[in-house]
Amino acid sequence: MKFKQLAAATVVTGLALTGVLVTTAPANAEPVAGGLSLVGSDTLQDVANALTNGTSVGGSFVRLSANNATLGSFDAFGSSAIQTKPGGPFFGRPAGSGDGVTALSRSIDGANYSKNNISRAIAGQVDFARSSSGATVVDSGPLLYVPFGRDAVSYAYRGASDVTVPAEMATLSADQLKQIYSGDIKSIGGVTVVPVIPQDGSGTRNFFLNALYGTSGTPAAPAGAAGNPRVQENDASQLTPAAGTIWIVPFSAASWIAQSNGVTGVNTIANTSTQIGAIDGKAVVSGSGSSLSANSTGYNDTRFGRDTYIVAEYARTQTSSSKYDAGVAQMLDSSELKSLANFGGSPASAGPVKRKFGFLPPLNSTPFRAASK
Amino acid sequence: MTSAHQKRNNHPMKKNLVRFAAVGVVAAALVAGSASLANAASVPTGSKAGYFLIDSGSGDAVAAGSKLAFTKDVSGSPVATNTAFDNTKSFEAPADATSVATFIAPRGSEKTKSAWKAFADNGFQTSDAGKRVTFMPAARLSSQTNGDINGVKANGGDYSLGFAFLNNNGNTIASDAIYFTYITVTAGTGEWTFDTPSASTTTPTDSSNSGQIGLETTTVAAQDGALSLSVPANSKATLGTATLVNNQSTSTGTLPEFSVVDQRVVSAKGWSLTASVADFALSTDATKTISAAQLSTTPKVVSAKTDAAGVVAKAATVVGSAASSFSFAEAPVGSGVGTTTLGGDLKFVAPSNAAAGTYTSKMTLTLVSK
Repeated sequence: MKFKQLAAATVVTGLALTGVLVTTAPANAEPVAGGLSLVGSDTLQDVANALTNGTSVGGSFVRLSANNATLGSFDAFGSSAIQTKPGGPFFGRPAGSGDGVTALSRSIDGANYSKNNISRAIAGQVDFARSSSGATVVDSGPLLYVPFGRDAVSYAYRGASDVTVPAEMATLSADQLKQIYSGDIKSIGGVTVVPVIPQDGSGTRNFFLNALYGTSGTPAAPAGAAGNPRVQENDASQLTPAAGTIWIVPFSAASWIAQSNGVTGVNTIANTSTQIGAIDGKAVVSGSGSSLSANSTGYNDTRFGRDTYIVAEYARTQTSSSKYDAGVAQMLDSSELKSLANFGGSPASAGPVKRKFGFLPPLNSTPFRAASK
Repeated sequence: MTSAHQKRNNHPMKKNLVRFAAVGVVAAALVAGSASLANAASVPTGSKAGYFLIDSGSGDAVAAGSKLAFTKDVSGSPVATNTAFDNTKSFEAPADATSVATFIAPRGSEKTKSAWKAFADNGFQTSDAGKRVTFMPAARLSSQTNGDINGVKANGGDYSLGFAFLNNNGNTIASDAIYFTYITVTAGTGEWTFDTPSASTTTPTDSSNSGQIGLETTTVAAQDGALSLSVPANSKATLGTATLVNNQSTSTGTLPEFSVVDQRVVSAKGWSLTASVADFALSTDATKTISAAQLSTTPKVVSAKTDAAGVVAKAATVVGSAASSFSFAEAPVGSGVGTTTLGGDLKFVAPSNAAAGTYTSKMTLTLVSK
């Protein structure tokens, strides 16, 4: 270990001396997975970390294992490259749902995966993608989307310290939001509102924009947010409004609840000037402080509520396939208490952990197949 | 096991009562005795209390005698069923515990972590009663992901399955707080069976299989404040079902806990405790006796219930040559202030020529100040 650290330090020094800032050098790596690996969505990251690393938040200690080994779930953000399997290649860290599904697709087909200026073959390196958005059903597709839990997307907002945030900000309508993001509304209650969106590859960003604009005609980046910063999704600490303004960003309700409940590694919403809104007045949270829970009013909304998924290769779940992997199949079997798909009530199952992290059972619990990405 | 048996298992109080009452001391008659007690699967030696297996999804008792798949999701429980998932029915953590682990260990090596075949980290929770507990520790074999879980499955065998509260970075068992039951794993498939920690399912009615050791106590006059010995009223040590070893009836038991309270905070003179055991006499014919030398006693300080420092439990006596009077424990001068809870293990070997029957004796404890 010591050797490795020394070597890494030398590399960094060398780069600094030449004055080149390169993001491709793997710094100190996270540990590799002991078994199956997960990458992708930031929204599902914290709950997946808890389930794979072990947690008592559901009432009993729950840690998933498959094929008699524990799993490794890799964050959406962190060092630019990750190594998921022992001896495996370093590859660009998938930052969000879209990246996660793409990496899974490259892990299946063996083609190079490109991210963070690294292009590398990653066959067999990714077993599951965390995805906060669904996909178009393709009955013969190689991917299997298994519902994980229900989340809702709302918006978080924060006013600068010199601003009195108008009460109207708490319950903006979907129309108002669309006009804010299109650049047609620039202020609410006389205060300038600055719409910002999460990074490329963010499932929350794609879902939110699709919900606002509809699947046809959704801009890749709406006009109102053009020129504004891109922030990491579900990180309220990145809301830094200039004097006289309010920043607004789409935010996962589940992530908000998990952070408020203190079950995540980092809490970015502790600042009391950061609030979560209720679109069209439909609240997404109930309770307060560390006993926040999901509010089905907002979650069941067909426009802003969403089922989230764990995505895997379909063939690996089929006993008839030579690719069959009992561990993969077990993790996607909702009747298994300690699986990614479970939403049971027993404290020794995954369900209560998901609830504590702000998820409700998926509205539609039927897995479906989709094309690779 | 019949349903009547299972029903009985649902009553832990009953279990305790039965355990204290069931006994067998003596030679030839005990062959029959142990047969009638064949269902008396008790708590395995070393387990602090019974470790029941419940279905992780429903909280129902896993039926005794079931054969479980290697990945069957079951959890440990101090009670036979917990369908309400009541987290006060959990295992309370000792104050010195810093971590929790579940394990599969060779029988007899449960308390040696390095000997565990497979294990996994577990955790603490807070019960509704506000206590630090472990609730429903994972008893699913495939969840024991550290060590050689694949070897357990491939090779099968007899093991103990349970969990322990640990300290010293997970190296040692905290306050002997370890709970387990016996399991048998089928090689290859990993299917397994387990012992349900029921008490004796049939209370022995043949009095010839029963024997008791009463305890009498004497207390010295208090000096310099109070120095006292307290033994619960009607204390009885019961020796468990005997087995024939080299044609000699051999049985083991546990001495009931008793305590020495030394409040001589200023002088702290120390004390010594001696025990004397009378010869065992046959209840139906007091002229037939077995020498007290046949009882070995291993004195113990129950550290979890002791706040006095420096008390030393004396060496065990040896069967066949045990002195009728021996030193039990000692607090050197300057130590022993506070409460010391003592107990001990007993082992009794009846000579092969002894007449069958119930033998009784008394152990007298004498506390003397230094």
